[in-house]
Amino acid sequence: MNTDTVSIKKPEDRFAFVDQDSLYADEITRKNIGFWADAARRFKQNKVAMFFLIVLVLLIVMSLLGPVISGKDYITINGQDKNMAPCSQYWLGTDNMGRDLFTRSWVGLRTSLVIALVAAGIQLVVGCLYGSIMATLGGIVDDVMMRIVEVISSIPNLILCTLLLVVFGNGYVQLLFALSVTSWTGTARLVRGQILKLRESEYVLASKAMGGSNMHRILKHLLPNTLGLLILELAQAIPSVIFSETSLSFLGIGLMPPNFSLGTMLQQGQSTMNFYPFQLLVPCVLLSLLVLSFNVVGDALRDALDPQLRN
Amino acid sequence: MSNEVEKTAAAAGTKPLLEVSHLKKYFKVGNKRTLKAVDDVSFNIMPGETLGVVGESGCGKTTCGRTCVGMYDPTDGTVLYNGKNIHELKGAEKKAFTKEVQIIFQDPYASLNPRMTVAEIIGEGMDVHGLYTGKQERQERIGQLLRMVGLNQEHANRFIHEFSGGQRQRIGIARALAVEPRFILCDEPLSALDVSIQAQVANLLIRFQKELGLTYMFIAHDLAMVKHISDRVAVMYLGSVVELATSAEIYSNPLHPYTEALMSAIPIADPDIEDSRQRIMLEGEVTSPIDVPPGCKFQSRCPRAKECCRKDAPELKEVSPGHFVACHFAGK
Amino acid sequence: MAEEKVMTPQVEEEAVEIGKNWKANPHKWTGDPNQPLLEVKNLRVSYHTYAGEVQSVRGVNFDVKHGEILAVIGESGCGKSVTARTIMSLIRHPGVVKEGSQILFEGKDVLSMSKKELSQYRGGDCGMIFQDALVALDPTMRVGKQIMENLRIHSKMTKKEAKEEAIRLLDVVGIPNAETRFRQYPFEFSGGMRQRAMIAMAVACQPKLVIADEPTTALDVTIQAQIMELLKRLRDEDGTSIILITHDFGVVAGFADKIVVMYAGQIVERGSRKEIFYNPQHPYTWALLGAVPRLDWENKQMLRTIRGTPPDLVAPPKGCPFARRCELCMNVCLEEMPPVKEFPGEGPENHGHSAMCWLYADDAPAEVREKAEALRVKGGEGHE
Repeated sequence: MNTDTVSIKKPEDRFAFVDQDSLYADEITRKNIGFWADAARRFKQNKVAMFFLIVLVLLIVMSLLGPVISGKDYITINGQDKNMAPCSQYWLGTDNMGRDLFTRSWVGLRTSLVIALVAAGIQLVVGCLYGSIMATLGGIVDDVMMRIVEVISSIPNLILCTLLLVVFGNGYVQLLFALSVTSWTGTARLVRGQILKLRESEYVLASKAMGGSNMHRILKHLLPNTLGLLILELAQAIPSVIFSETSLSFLGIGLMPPNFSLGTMLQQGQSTMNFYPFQLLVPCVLLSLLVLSFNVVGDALRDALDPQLRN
Repeated sequence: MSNEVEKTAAAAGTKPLLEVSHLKKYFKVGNKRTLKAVDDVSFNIMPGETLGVVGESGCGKTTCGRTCVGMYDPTDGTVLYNGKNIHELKGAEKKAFTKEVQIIFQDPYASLNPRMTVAEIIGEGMDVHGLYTGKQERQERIGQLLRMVGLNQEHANRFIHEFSGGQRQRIGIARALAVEPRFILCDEPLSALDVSIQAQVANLLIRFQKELGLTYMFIAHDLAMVKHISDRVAVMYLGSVVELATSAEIYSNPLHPYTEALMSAIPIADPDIEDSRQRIMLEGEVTSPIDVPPGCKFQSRCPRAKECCRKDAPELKEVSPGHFVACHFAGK
Repeated sequence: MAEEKVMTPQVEEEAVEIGKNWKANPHKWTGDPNQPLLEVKNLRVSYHTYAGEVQSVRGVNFDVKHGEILAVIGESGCGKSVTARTIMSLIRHPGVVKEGSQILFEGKDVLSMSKKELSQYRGGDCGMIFQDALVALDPTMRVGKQIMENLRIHSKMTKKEAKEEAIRLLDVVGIPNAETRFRQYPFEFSGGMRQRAMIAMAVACQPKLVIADEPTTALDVTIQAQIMELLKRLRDEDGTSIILITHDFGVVAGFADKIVVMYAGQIVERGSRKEIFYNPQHPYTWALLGAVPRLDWENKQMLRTIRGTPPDLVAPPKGCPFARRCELCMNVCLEEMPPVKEFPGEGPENHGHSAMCWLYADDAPAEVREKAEALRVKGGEGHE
């Protein structure tokens, strides 16, 4: 198809007409690039985001390997080694019960991460289902379901969580329930809006005119075009759940000993802040790094996935 | 009016492919007001014919087209395809209808799914209707369709954001043709395209009609293009057909004042003609289709409006064989 | 010296010819009539995208005289809108105006103006009408106020004077009930009204030049006719120079004095209105003229098409940009940039007709020209 290689051999050929069939004017010179490949390319261009992505991966890896590296467990109370400063035996010192802070920090981080992932997952699944039901059924069902969403989202989040935890007690399940009981409303609205928008789009109409079934439309058109949005929602939900969990635990209504997360460690560190600052500093730094990297990566994802920025 | 339609149909000796009678499509808009997007429209389309529908934005031409192919349910009136009411089709009949009737959309950017490759887009209808026996056949057919619209196999695995508007519109045509339809609703397929590309697509449409015996309903606001492509033209104003005639007749002998004004407003690419032309300038703009006052819908902008126009809405009457006009003063 | 003497009477004649329509507004009439109001010299603009540098405008030259209507015609992506924006100095990142480009407005380079000079130039000396009025007007501000703002930035009017002037302007552009409309927001206007309001805004400070970028593309034909009539009146009564950016040959036919045809960031043909319509020289121009169906043509004839799509300007072809789509593509067209050939026209208004094409190269053999002559469409007659 490429006629650029045609070269003029003889001077009298200069003004010879070119065979029309050899010319191909529909050629595309830009390289073939799919949606996800294009998004990945744009993401890679963002150096800051790449840095924090590496930080994030390191944090996750360490939360799994950290306890193994130090070779210490995080439960054993060691009476002689209370409140030690960082030294060769305890790399980041010990807490007020003599437990290794290095190991505890990574385990606490792991707990926070797992809670965040599960809660964000619940938020996404519930929000998605609820939102798509609203959008598909429409009419009165939509109205009623929308009012429910409005009522739920008008209750102050923190108060509701506190109440639930006070009533049901502290524990992983209760905490997860408290964290996700209100958070899905935003996702539900988002999904509803997106589906309503997509349903009116011409390619979905075209598919309808072509006789495709509802299932076909959902799988082929609605879902793929909502996926980017959901990934963004997940990336933004995780740091916010981490924050909520930490605040609850910090206030003493989240996890209770022997369970612990970064939040409970912060609470403990805070009480001895004046004498042993590293007990506060270590979980603090980890938490900040974690949330910061999630936020930066989430932002970069939004830029990378936003179709409006595609050129 | 339906009597006349039947008479002309009988005279031609064939049954119309699409019969639209007294079609109405109203939308409720806040405060209990209704928007009469399509208000008592009747026409028919013969097999192998192109019916052009022109009108300014908001005249209801797109709604009319989409109701005619079953995308919207009508408020009143019927649409018969091959003698069957399309809004009452069920099961296999409905599926067969969706195979025979296709749409080409206006916006080549919005009408193709950005997450699909060209092959997936074109193959979608074939998948739905099971029009192939194996992967090999599917791929060959897609390649064949791409070549029909002037693209080639190389393009099959690309995503549509890499294509220009004209190329996308051709992909849209290939998608419509993939299910071997008989009737295609062309909903402003050219208005988003560049002039040189418009000609390409228009030629493709004309060629496929000849080769495949397709029937078109061609909706556009560009009267010159509609006249060029269509056998008959219906001019719509505020949800009603005000004039319907063969395209030669519409051009040489427009009878409705709106058609005349529309015709005279279209610029002609010829300086001498343009310099000597006397334009009929319409006052004002298209009135809102919400709460239209009684009487003729065009009265507020009509240079000929008289007392009777404010009272009675004129009916679409046949003033000469095949030429229908809705004006009190038509032919006078 | 001898040449100058011969030239003088002609210049005066032209001045009278151009100036006759707006004697009522003598303040407009400054400077030498033979000096162009706007000169665009070797304009090159690029956009930086992921795929590389898109060379949107590749060396464009033209000028606009006082009271002249210049139409820039071309398809989307040919660089016509970018050119218009560059004249208004509105190019932002990722767009870059290349070194060596010059835009001279009354002899002053727009591209090197200070901020203060620019704010006087934009909206003061040079107004712009956009395609989409809904985007170009501030949706949160009353229409009247937007016009007043513009007036008050560029002149020392009091609030009351500015208000009166704004109402007068709305009235002039044909908006009924100007005083009520003055207090309304853009969304309360219909499409045609918004376009009129934007024209009122663009001409508020009596600019010497108005750039209209596809002013009627979003409008219905009956409204289009009204708007074009309004723009024409603007030139005839006030002597404003107009640059009309459009893709529609029909709109241009009854409107422009001079026409510039752009393709792939370059000017492929330029000339007076009649030269372009009745004596087109570039294969692209004649193909375009044959591609649009006309009301007075026979039905269902095949339209003249141009195959394929314009080249991707990330990697512009090294030869003629149109070569791959041209019916008369020659070997040389794919290899080298074509020369610009001048065609002497009859009468002073037909000066400056030129086309950039190898068909008219000095060393092109005679049979090439014969074939070109045979294929050319005169006055846009149908083909095939």
